[in-house]
Parts: sequence; structure tokens; C-alpha cells
Amino acid sequence: MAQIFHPRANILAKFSLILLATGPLLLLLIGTGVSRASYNTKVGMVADQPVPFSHEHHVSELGIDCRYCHSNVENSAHATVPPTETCMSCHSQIWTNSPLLEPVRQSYKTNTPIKWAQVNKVPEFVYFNHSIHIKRGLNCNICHGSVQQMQLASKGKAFFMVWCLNCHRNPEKFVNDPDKVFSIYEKGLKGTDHEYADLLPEERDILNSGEHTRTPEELAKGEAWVKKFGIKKKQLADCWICHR
Amino acid sequence: MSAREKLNDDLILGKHTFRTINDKVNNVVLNQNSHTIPWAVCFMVGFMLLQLMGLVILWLLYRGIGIWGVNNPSMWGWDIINFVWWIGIGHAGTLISAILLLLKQSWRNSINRFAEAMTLFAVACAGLFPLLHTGRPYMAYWMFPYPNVLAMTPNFRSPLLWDVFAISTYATVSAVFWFLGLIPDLASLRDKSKNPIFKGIFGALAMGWRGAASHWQRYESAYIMLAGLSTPLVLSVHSIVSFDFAVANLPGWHVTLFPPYFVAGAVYAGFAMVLTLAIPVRAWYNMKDFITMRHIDWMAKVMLATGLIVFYGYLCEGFFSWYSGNVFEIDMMRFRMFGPYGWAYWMLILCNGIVPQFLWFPKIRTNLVALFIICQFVSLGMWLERFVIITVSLTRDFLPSSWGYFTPTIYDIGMFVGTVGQFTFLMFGFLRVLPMINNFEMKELLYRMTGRGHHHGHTAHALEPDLAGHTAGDGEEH
Amino acid sequence: MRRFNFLNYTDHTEEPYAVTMLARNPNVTMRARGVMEKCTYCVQRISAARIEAKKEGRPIKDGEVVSACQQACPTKSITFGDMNDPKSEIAKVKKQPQNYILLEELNTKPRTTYLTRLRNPNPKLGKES
Ligand code: SF4
Repeated sequence: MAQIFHPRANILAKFSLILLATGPLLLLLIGTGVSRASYNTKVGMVADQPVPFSHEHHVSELGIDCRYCHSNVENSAHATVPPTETCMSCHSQIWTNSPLLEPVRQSYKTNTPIKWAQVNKVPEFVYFNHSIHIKRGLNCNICHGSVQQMQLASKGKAFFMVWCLNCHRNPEKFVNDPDKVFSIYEKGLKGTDHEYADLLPEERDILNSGEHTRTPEELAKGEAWVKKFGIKKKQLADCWICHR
Repeated sequence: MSAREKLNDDLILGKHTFRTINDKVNNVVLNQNSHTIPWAVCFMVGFMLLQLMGLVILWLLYRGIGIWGVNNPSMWGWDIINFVWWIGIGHAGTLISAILLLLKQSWRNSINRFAEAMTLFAVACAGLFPLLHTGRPYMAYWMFPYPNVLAMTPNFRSPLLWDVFAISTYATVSAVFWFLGLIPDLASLRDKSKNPIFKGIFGALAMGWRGAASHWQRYESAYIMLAGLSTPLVLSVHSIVSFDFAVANLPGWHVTLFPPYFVAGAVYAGFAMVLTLAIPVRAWYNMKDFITMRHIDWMAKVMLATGLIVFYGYLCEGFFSWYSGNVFEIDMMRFRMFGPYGWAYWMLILCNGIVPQFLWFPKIRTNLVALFIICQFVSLGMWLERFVIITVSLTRDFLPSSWGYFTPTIYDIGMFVGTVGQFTFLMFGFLRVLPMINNFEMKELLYRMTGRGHHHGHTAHALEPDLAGHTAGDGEEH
Repeated sequence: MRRFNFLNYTDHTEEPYAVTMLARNPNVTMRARGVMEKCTYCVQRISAARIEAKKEGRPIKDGEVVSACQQACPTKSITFGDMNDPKSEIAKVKKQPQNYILLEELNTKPRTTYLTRLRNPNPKLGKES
């Protein structure tokens, strides 16, 4: 009987068998890779904004406090995007002719809000509350990346649930002194003589990237805060804490 | 007396040689003219119903499962009934291929191939229902514990999750087992086929099988290992399906009796389906030499035995509910018998309790028409069993405020008929493209039956006693 | 009572979605088709009270959380509160002899319990109210 297949077909056959075994695994890997890539999470992707607002300039160079614009962050669920009036409190005096600021002036004149593109967004079934997180000493950068270094705002962290739970299951890794949340920006001001002056290593890390793994001593301090705040660790990761 | 004589048929009738067996089995696949009008009718009807199911599923995905009759309080309706029914039907295939192999029953050889195919297709039908029933089938992957960004794992305490694993394991093992058994036959088809395209396809599927001694040696050990793997599945899959009910504390569901009684019911329904297929197919393709009256008789006996277990289960349910002294359990039995679904219960007793008793008579076991009709009764009865279990318990639970009545919609019926169509379509498609009878095992059987190799090899020895017509096992017949 | 969203009762394709959400209760997710619906004991109200209390560093006061059904009930037949706090209103109500658990023997330990109707089996003592 004549041969149907060339001997080389054996390789193909073996390869297809291997693929059969590894294929699903490979697919899983690709799936997990894509879902975690910034293509999907939009981390570090600059959104198209009507005005090229620079956080770096306003925070690191001019030293404006976060709360000057995001004024409700300490009291309400939302950090709130400032109204045009907040911008105009300075820009009615300086850069009054800058073409880049034309949309701001327009907005002020016509009394219509600027349509900022939302950069950090949780899904609608997640009810995040800014104020309680600030009250537990979580610095803005822990979730938003080092915003004070961003020329144009982009998402700092992928808001995966596993990432939220990282803290909600082990709050001692992150909770801190609530009084220090905003003061570290001041210490990190650019071009001043107290640049990075007397910052703790943890604070420096947070300022630079928002990422910090606590040392045992820091963890012990964290535990103390957890106790002080009366955080019920068993409850903190329950579904209903964030979902309603 | 003639009825009894047929029961002592050999497992292969007629004057067959290796070549005639080979030609006969392969001919169905290779000679396209061997398919007659019945094939075309079954295939077409199956195909049409499959299309119908496609439409129903499309509409379902668009609208939601509310188009079915399921609603408070009957959250499970035809979908789950059909699921359990189909899963049960699959069990006969696994029983034949795995357990009978381990028990060295030679009569499995001619029926195992299409019984296994039946298993696969039944599981394919069954799997659809729970998948769609979740309401968001596109989220089905959430049921697997994969590394996810939600830091969530499925709830392992839920029997519904055990179901996911039981059925996916079952489907995989059955498919692998079936394919492995096909390899030597595919090689034979490759060698006999004249058409170069078919040669290529069969050749690729045969994966280089040359029939070398080393191939056979590996094949046999792989096959026996898979049989060992499938054996627990016969018992576990339907036990786990029964846990879906038994773990809940609803009256009528919360019984320890469920696992064995479900498994027996599954084998029972499965053999009914194998017979439903075997009886016409052996006539249409003239396979009477291979699927002999003796095969059919034994299948009918298995049906009778499992049917009696199932019937015993019904009696036990009645006894338990009375003996429990629990008002809810007693009332549940009362509602089953005399409630709004009483007709279903009595139909069930008729189909599963009374009609199978005819199988005691050899005359009926050899009367193919009667047997075929009994099989239809059994299939209907097993469907009704799930209907009674699911619907009555759900619509008559503890509080009269949550009582209701379940009515199916046309979409329920469409889905059910559609899966029947899918099953028929796949089954008849299979008959045309793959050998429906295990070609090489039949040849091996012939080899041993004709006494050649009587003194060689221990495998042949072990298989010896129950070959041919002179077994000791069916003494009660004489 | 629980309910499954068999159909897409909330049209998520309706634009603008945020407006639909505001038109209902913006503090509760509009559940899509294929999701279970159940009494959440007004978790949005509990969470609001819990967060406020935590910010002030105190436990939630009894009566601070009022469930929507309790608020709406004209006859005040619903009491809601912390069962673990023995001084709470709910704990007191639950201690009353009329308190009963529906289908208690199933051991599902429901938190919602009921008070039986008060009846006067002896008509001589006065008219049943
Ligand atoms: S209003 Fe009442 S019934 Fe509805 S969620 Fe709130 S507590 Fe439950």
C-alpha cells in the first residue's frame, strides 16, 4: 500500500498532540495576559482631555494641595472634579490669554461645565467611598499612582478586585496616620530646599510610585492603627462592604 | 419455544470470517449507497429540529431565560428535567464500555461503539441546559477556579459546582475513551478507503496506527486504564447530579436514597435509549449478525433489573415519607399522588413500574416491536420521574404562600425537541462517517470464538467462559 | 423573598444609563438579567451609617439605620437593628414571647423573625382587637 503521509507528518502529529495538551493552558495564559495588560486596564494611558492639565505643574511645582481642587475628598464618597470657578480663581489673573485655557474661559463665560474625561473609574456595581479611605490614612498615590508627577493624568493602578482585596483582607499593610495623607506632598515639593527632606522610606516610596511593601516594624505599626481604628478584619472583605 | 432458542444465539451469527466482518462494518462508512431512506429521514428531521433549537437559543440569549416557564416558585423547570434526563441516558454507554470491559463481558463488543457515541451526544445535549439556565451563559467560565482578577473562587460547598466538575470530567473521559477505541478502526478505514481525501482524513485520525505489536500492547494498557477511570464515573456523575436535589432541604428532595436510585435510573434510561437506537439501526444496516437477539435480550434484562431498583426506589420514597412522620414529607407524597400533578405520578408508575414487568417474558424480550415500545415507555417514564421530583417539590414546598403551578412554554418544548433533534442528528451523522461497530474487537471475538488461539495468551483465557452461547451465567433460561 | 432576573427588566442599553440609574436608587446596583435579587437589609443604608460612624470613630447607634420598608411602613410593624447588641430595640422585641422564627426546625437560622398576632381566646375578657 502506498504511503499516505510523508514521514515528516509524524512531527505534525506529535506537535498537534502537544498542542492539544498545552493549548488550553496557553489560551488561559493569553487570556490572563490580555486582561491584565494596560491595553485592557488603561493603566498609564493618557485620556483625551479638553485642557491639557498638568498635575505635576500644579502640585509638585506650585505646591497646590490636592484638596484645593478635589475639595470633597475628605467628606464624601466622591473626590469630585473641581468646577470651572476653581480654575478661574487663579486663571482669571494669570495666563489669561493662553490659548490652551480657552475652553476654561469659554466654560466660565457660558456657564457650562468642562467635559473632563474620567480617568479613574470603578464599575457601577462598586460603591467606593473616598472619605473613609482618607480617614484610614491611605495616601492618594496608593490607588492613583504618583499623580503629582503626571504631566497628563493617567490611571495609576488597574482597579482589579484582587487588588482591592489585597488591602481589604490585610488592612495592616496599608493603613496609616490620617494626618499624614496630604503632608507628604509638601515635603516632596520640587525645586525647593526641602525636596524629599525627612521623608520616611515608606513615604518616599508612596510619593514616587505608590508602591511599598511594609517591613515588619511598619507592619506592626499598621497593626496598631488597625486596632486603633477598630477595623473588623473579618468584615472588611465581605461582599456588601463594596457591593450593594 | 422458538423465542427461547433465539436467546441462545451466538454473539456472532452466520458464517463470518475476518474479511466479511471487516467489509460489513467498513462498508457502512465507505459505501455511500449503504445509507437508505430511513437514514435520510432521521438525519433531516434531526437537522431541522437542531435548527429549531438554534432559533430558540438565539431568542433565549436575547431575551433571557424568562421565556421558559421557569419562575417563582418553580425555579427549575423543563431545563433541569431535560438535563438530568439526558445525563442519565449517557450512562449506559459508559457502563457498557467501562464496567462490562472490566468484567470481561464479551457481549459489549458489538454495542460499545455506538453506545459510547450515544453517551457523548447525550452529554452534549445535557450540558446545554444548565449552561443556559445560569442566565448568563457568557459568564460560564466563572464556574471554574481559574486565576482571576477578582480573587474569587467558586463555592466548593455547592453541589451545583460539583456538577460542573463531574460533567466536564465525564465528557472529557468519555470522549477520550471513545476516540482511543476508534483508532484501530480508523486505521482499517484508512487502508480500505479508495478516496484519497477520506484516506487522508482517516489516516490523520488514526495517528499513524500500523497495528504493530507494540501499538497493541500500548493500546490495551491505555484502554484498560481509561476503563478504570470511567468506572467510578458511572456511579459518581449521577450521584452528584442527585446531590443537586438531595443536599437541598426541600421535602421530597432531602433523601439519602437519591444517589443509588438516580444511578439505577440512569442506567435504566440509558439501556432503553441504546435499544431504541439498536433495534432499527441493526435492521436498516443489516447488522443482525453482530447485534444478535442475545445482545438485545441481555440489554432488556439489564433494563429489567435496573427498572426494578428504580421501582423499589419509588416504594421506598413512599415508605420513608410515611415513616418519617414529618408532616411536610407526608404531604409531599400526597401531593405527588393526588395533587395537581397526580397524573404525572401515576403515568410514571405505569411507565417505570408496570410496563417493564413485561420484560420478564422471553417472548416479549424477543419481540422487537414490543421491546421498542417498552423502551419508549421507559424513556417517557424516566423523564416523568424527574418532572415529578422537580416540579412537585418546587411548587408544593413548606409554605402554602409559595405554592404554584408550573406550565411549560413553547420555548421549553422547543429546547427539548431541539435536543432530541441534536441527538438524532449527531447520532446519524456518526453512523455515516465512523464505524458503528467495533470492528477489531469483533474480529478478536471471532478469533476467540472459533477456538483459535485457545491455548495462547492469558487474555483469551480469561475471556473464555462467557464467549459464545454456552455460558453458565444464563442458567435461569433453560 | 428572593427573585431571579429571568428577563432584562432593566434595559442596560437604554441611554444614558447613568440617568436610568439615578432615576431608580443610585445607591443600589441595577441588577442585570441572570442575577439573583434578594432583600439586602438595605445594605446601602447600613453602609452609609457605618461609614459615617467610623469616620467619627464611634459604633453605629441603635436606630441610626432605618430600612426602607421600615421607613415606609405606616403601622411601624418593622423593627430593624443590631441583634448582637442586647440593649437595642430589636433585641428587646426579639425577646418578647410572641417572637417566632418561620420554619425554625429547618435550622436555616433566618434573621428575620416575626411576632404573632395577639388573640384573645376568651371572649368573656373583651372583644378581640
Ligand atoms: S426595603 Fe426592606 S425588604 Fe427591601 S431591601 Fe431594605 S430591608 Fe430588605
